[in-house]
Amino acid sequence: MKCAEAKKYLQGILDGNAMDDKDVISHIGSCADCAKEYKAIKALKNALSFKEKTEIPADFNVGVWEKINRPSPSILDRIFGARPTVSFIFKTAAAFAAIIFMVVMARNSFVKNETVASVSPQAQVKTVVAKTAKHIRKPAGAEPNVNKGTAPASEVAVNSVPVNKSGEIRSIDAETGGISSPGKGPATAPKIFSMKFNKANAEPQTAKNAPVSSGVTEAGISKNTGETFKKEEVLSGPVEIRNNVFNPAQGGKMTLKYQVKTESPVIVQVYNKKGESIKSIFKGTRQPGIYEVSWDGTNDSGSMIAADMYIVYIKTDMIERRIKAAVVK
Amino acid sequence: MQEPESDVIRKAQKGDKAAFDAIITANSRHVTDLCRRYMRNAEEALDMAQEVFCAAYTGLDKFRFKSKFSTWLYRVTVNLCINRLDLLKRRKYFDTDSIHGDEEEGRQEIQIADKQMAADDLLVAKETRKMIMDELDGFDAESRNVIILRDMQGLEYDEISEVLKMPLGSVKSKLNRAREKLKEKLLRKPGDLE
Repeated sequence: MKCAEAKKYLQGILDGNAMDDKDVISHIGSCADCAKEYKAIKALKNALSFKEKTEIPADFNVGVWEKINRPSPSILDRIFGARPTVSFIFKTAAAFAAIIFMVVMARNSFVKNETVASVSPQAQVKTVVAKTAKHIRKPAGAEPNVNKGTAPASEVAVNSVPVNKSGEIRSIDAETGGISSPGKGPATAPKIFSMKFNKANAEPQTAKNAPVSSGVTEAGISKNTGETFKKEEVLSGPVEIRNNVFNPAQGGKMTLKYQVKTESPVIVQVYNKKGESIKSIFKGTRQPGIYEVSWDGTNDSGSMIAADMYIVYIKTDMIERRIKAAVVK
Repeated sequence: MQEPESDVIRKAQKGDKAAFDAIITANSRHVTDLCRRYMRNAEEALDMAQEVFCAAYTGLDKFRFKSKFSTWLYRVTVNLCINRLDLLKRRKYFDTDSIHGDEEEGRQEIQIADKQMAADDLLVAKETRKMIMDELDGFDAESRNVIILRDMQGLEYDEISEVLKMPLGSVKSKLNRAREKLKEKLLRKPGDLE
């Protein structure tokens, strides 16, 4: 390659057009003049292509408006003013709609979660499964009658359900407390089972056919215990569970409320994870009604059990369920 | 330089301050960089850039959309910078520290093309750059403009032709002559070139 050709090629370096060419490189290596020119061009390119960085101050625009001798536009003007009107309005409206939609959806899901959490704070443990809700009324001021039948003396009915033989719930006369079938006159007062379980004595005043029930408080909502009946008792399902995660050392207890429609045997039993029965809460026959039992974390011998996961088995005429319960300490 | 939407320019022409403010925000970086090439001083460059936008605001109705807005704004910038430098020359302030002061102090980080340069190489490069810029100051305005717009700002030839309102051939010939002069200056420089 001749020097003239090489120099022509070297001019292209400044414009960024020239690529490394083997012939040129070999010529530069052998020709001192061309090598010097190559170095000069490279140095010139470096010197011209440097970038001097100047920091733009935050009040640059304000300075411009001051020099123009006019007040600078407001922040709202800057945000909304300089955009093409129609497209910007559409885009902004769409963005707002999307944000509102997401907020509403997020809030809905939050409310749902909160509802579940209010039923049971421990999400891992199943709580209430509400399949059917029965509206059961209790006469105001009606004195509970002590059961003299098959119901055990150690139990108190939370609310006796007036049910006829066909399983229909009959209406209750608010004044007399009597039960009346549709189209019929006042009937007898509903059966109320009442008894306070004395844990210290553990000797319930049993009647005939008294069920096995020790170390547990079954029922507990009655006038005898100082609590009042609700006028309208609603059970959200065949069984309602409260506090299936509890600390017995702090007085916590698990509570089950269940409904019996017809006179039938009922079993409430606690098992450990190995399937061994550790506590028999109730085993016997129930009259129709709503009953509440609680487990205070003791075993059959009355001693406190270890913190662990347990299964509470309940069987009535309506359901048969295994409910997880966690004893924590 | 960022090309603003024509709607925004039209709004600014009708006196919409927010629209012009958006134009300032979008172009302040490029205008300031170009001013820095001419003024060689950060403060002067910022002041000059603000002057450019003032001039653009008052003369915005003269923009007829026949060229790109960026080209028009370049032209305003170049004209104002040249006028300012001429004014400083006439006042014999050109060689004072107010123009070249902070470049020599090196307050701003300078990004050399080859970032792997060693410290001594960097020093040599800085010296070379200063020599080139000093030489460039001695050029006529047109030669300086083509070098700045082409080799420093990276504008295309036709765009330079539009900005400087100069035929394309003249741009190329002036650029070649200016480069040749600078190269000769470098070749005469004693010591190694970096």
